[in-house]
Amino acid sequence: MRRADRLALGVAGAGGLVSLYLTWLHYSGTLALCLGSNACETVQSSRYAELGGIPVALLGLAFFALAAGLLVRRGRLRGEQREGARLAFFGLTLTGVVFAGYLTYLELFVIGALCPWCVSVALCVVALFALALRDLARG
Amino acid sequence: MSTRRERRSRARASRGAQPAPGTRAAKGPLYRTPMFLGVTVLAVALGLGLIVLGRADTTPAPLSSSVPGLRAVGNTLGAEAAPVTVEVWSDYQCPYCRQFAEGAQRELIRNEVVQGSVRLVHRDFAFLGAESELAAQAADCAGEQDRYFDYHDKLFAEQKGENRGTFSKDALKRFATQLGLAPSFNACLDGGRHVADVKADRAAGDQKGVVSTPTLFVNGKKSVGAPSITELRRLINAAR
Repeated sequence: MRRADRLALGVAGAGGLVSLYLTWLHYSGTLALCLGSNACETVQSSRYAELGGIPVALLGLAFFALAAGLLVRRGRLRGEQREGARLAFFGLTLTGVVFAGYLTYLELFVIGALCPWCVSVALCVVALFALALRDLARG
Repeated sequence: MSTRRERRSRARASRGAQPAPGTRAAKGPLYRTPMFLGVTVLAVALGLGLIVLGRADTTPAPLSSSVPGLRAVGNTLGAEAAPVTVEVWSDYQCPYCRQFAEGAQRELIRNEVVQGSVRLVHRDFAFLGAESELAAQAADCAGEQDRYFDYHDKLFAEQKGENRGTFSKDALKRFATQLGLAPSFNACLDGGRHVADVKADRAAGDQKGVVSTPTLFVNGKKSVGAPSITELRRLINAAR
């Protein structure tokens, strides 16, 4: 596995762990550890914390699991299959960036609270997208 | 095993060589393929689809008092003769109060309260700052027009952070206009007609041992936190 892919895998792992924590919080109804502010609580209990009955945190977890799966899988593929996996990774992260951007907009301008955990997940999504772009730019 | 420097130097040398036919290098970069364009369009469409789905999912629910057969008197909903009284101590700026009000409480109103088996009483434990107190006073003003619970729902639906102008006097008057309340609402709020009531409720809450919100009393039995509808029904059944 290339260094950039290992880095991407690390980012996906970190994002996945935070998403796992947020998913656990969602189902347990426990307060998020938010370092002195109640922004996490506000975001977590807002009506935007679920999409079609599915917690957004769980969607994030699925996103990072899929990203990690694609990264591992594409390391074993060759030729056109590998190119397909690279494009799929790019497509997945692009969808992630669009949706994470919307969620951050909601936090800033609609809910009025910026949750550090959610911001860190959004940063992981952006980092994965940047790595996908870098991969495509390499040819 | 080659060192990184050796590998780099080999790669540099190979860049000068002609790419083998059929390889990606020979076909041009991946981002210039029609497939890339297709994936980009699909990915953006998928992201926008999620946003649309999210927006449709967050349409505000109808107001509590729009439920047919409900009788609201001031801060009380439901039949006076109901065997169980659920008293909810709440703060309009508290996120878990909102979660409870828009979840389990709404479910309770639509079923047990309408059927007459539960009477719901809302009490103000306005402890999160000036805007919590103002919001509670505004709900009392709406209560003068028998629209207490409509205003209660509106406050929770508008909740955004704490003491940042969401529940300023101007905003509270705007909510009243949006709900079609009579202009006497403004005079009630400006005149501070319920300042003492809200403070008295807070003091009563302190006396009853309320320290956080939401806190419920089901026929006098205390329950701290926002219960799910299943837990709430268990508490109600135990209180009968």
